[in-house]
Amino acid sequence: MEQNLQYFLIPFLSWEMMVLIWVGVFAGIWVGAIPGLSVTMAASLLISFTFSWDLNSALALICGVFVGGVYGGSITAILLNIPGAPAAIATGIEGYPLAQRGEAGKAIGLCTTVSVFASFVGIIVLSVAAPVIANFSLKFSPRDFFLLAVMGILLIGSIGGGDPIKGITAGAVGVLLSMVGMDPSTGELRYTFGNIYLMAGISFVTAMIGLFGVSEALTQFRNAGKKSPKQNLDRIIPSWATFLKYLPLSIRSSLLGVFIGALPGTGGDVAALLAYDQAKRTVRHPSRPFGTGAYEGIVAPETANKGAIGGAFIPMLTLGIPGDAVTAIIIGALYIHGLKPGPMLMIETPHLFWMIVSCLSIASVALMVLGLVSVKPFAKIIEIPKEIIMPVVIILSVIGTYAIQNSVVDIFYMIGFGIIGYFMRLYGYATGPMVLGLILGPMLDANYRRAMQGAENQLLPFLEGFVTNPISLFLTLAIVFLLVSQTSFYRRWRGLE
Amino acid sequence: MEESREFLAEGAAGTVKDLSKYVPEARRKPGELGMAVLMFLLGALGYYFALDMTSGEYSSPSVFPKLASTVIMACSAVNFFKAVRREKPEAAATLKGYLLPMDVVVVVVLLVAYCVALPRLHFVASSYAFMVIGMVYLQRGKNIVRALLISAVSLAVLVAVFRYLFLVILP
Amino acid sequence: MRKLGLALLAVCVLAGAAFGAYPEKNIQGYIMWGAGGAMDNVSRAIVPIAQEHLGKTIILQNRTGATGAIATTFVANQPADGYSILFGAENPNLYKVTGLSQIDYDQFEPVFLMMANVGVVIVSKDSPYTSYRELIEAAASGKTITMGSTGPGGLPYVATTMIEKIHDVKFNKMQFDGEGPCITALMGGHIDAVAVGLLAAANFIHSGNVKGLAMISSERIESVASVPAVTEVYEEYRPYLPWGAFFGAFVRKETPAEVLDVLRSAFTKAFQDPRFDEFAKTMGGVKLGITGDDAKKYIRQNQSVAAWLLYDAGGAKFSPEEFGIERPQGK
Repeated sequence: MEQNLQYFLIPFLSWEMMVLIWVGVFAGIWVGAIPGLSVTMAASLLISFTFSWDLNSALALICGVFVGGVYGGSITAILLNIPGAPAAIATGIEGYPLAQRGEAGKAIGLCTTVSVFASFVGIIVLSVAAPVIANFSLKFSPRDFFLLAVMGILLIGSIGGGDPIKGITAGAVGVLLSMVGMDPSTGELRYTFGNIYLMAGISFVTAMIGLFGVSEALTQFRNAGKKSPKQNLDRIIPSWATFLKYLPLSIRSSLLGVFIGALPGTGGDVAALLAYDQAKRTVRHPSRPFGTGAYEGIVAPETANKGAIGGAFIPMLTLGIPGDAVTAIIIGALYIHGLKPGPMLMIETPHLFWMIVSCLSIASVALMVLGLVSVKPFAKIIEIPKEIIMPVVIILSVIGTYAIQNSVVDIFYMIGFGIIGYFMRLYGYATGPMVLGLILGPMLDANYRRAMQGAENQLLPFLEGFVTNPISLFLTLAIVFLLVSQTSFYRRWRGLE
Repeated sequence: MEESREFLAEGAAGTVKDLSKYVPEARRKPGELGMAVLMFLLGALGYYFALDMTSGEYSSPSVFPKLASTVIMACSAVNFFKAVRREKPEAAATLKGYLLPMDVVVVVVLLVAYCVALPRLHFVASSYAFMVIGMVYLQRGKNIVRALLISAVSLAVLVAVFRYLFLVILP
Repeated sequence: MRKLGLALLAVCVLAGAAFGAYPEKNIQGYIMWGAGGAMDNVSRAIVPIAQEHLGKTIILQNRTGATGAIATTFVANQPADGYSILFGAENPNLYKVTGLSQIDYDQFEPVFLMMANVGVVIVSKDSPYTSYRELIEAAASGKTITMGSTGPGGLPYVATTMIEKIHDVKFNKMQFDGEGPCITALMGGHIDAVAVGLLAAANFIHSGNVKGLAMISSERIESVASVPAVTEVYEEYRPYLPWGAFFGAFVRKETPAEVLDVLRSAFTKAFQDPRFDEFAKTMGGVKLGITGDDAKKYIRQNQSVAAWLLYDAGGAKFSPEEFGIERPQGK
């Protein structure tokens, strides 16, 4: 125990590490905020950058960027309706209307506060229960991942407040588009028509930037002359009472986030979506109806995707299995610095675990400070007349898109998606579901097929698996419940109508 | 609990539109039927091309594409029928006017021009032109100098950050 | 951060002023597999050291997709001036016979082959199979064994095909996005066994989370000496060996010789650097360190084993003969 405390204190005793963490968080916020730049990209750049550094310093920087980056994506979602990362889509749905009402300051303030809280929840769970959770998460079979993806898809009908059927249509289009490219399992080319660029598939980030960013810009131009909303910036930091009011929701959602982050391969984005859905179903009297700026709709996804940060480290540190894309890159960094990520990591280099825990904690504190300090400048951004800011945003999106793969074709895609998104929105087809479909499509397809392969392509054993395996059974029942709770039968029974 | 009220909601004039329940509008938008048909065709095409893919087992690559296409077709059909039952759009709203107000047309044309110019003129020139023209047009010819300045500064910052910090070679 | 940037800038300026020859500007490196994977790790380990000897930065990007065909095709279309380097694995060797792409290493000149990755057949620690023989006999007796796979052309796929062919058995396959997820699934009990590269599996073997049943090579590997070489159990594997994955840096064939020399010398020095040695030992890969004609011979041999194996087992669309790929010696 004493040993662990010593390890925990390592960053506190090193000037360099402290500075790097703060720098990292700051840089991460900006990277996350810029549409197209993802934390994953920044992390992989940093690996090469910090090759010759001392491992501790490198890790401090990367942890900082990770924490800051996840947060940054929500800022542009709230301010400009351009999520910096898929995890921020749900935040944007509620945050953007708030910003339009002039309450961007409050929205960001709330977002920051609960984010920090959730980040700590994730860290605590990581410190206390990592091995247990890691071993449990291994038990998730492809079938269970499929069920999780289905849960995510069920959200599609209700996101954005539009006609649910149109939402489903948009989602299905997204799923269809996600199939373009090389099938990861068999290598078969689907919907590529011999074009080599299509072979690489359609990156959902490109689509997201186009569908949200560019189409938002175009939609804005229909309201030419409308003034940008003036921001009320008096009370940014939520009062203690407010914080307590949302506490149960925060705890629920962040725990959900930690757990989903701990599942290998799924991270903050899925966590945020599921948490948002969970909030919609369980909160009886939202501060505002969902879709128009409900504060609960910010609290839930934000806490989930921050909890997922800590969660992602759980399998990574205990088993050497990445919990999400960023931790996969961190594993690479560990190799390069001569360490052996894997089950032996905690045994051979015990200081690493606690050091990372404390780096993340410091980063969370830094987030609190830097986040709140930047609220005013960020909120002021909306006040810039849109005639000026929109062209800049478009160019920013262009760079961000290009930076993903250094491919000019991506820029064309993005603009194409923007135009498509614009037309879609005119007819009530929300763009959120389409991006969701793009993200969840591969998860659905691949895991469904793996589960099928596990059952040797026989329908009966495949279906059996849903009820015989305890985890699958639980998830299946959860989905059934989700579906049933939408019907009027259930609502009458519960006295909701 | 006075303070918590600051975070409570109030819509314009006290009415709060409940967006969690969808309330369909009475009239169609111009071109809505066409949109539904378009979507249906998309689904049909998706299904058609999926037929080329390997199939046979439950776990074939063609399963999900076919599934997604079918969902699109089904939903589009539903959308179509729902739209048909609604009233025709107002006489004043024309298709072109609804879809393409002048500003949008100009920006789209600019975007397309940008796509064409990019490989030839490269990033800095194309982006600068785009931003300046965009800003000037949107502000209806006012504040030209300000537009030139802001575009230059933001472009400089962006290029500096991306080129030197992130080591991205811009096109 | 800024310190390093300034330092790099200074080095660049100095180097530029001193040489005025290749490299005059930064170089682009394209990694054909994703971040965090073995290919990515090897590339990111050697490049920073090689950079020191080149005086310019090699900017690395992952350009994934189509089992590496996207990256390969892309670099093949870049100017042959040495400013685009492909960091590739063994997958391009199979592009022609699987019909995936017409562009493979024939259009490239190997700068340096850094490491080789040997295959190892692993099962989970709770598996009922304690020896390779048991596993094969179970499969032969008709029991369904689910093997993990990473898609056509990947190491697990070719290895599994090899095993199926030699013993005339059929496995049920479940496909994943990479060797990492295969190992995760193995530990969770969702698949029975998988043949992955040692680089991915070494740590898990050491920790006891998985059991190594056989090394797909003709001798034991030092870092996992307890795992028997497959030839100790079944001699029939010998004609196919040595075989495995490899990781290398390539440039277009038409690149001028002086440029190639500069690159080769930089990478060779990086390879010999003790820092890379450390890395290689930790990762458990086999250091190759070959270049020039040796490298070409190695690649060709790897290709003939893999291509004919695949074709004979019915997994290839086209015959290797059509591309002039010879049968491996003794088969």
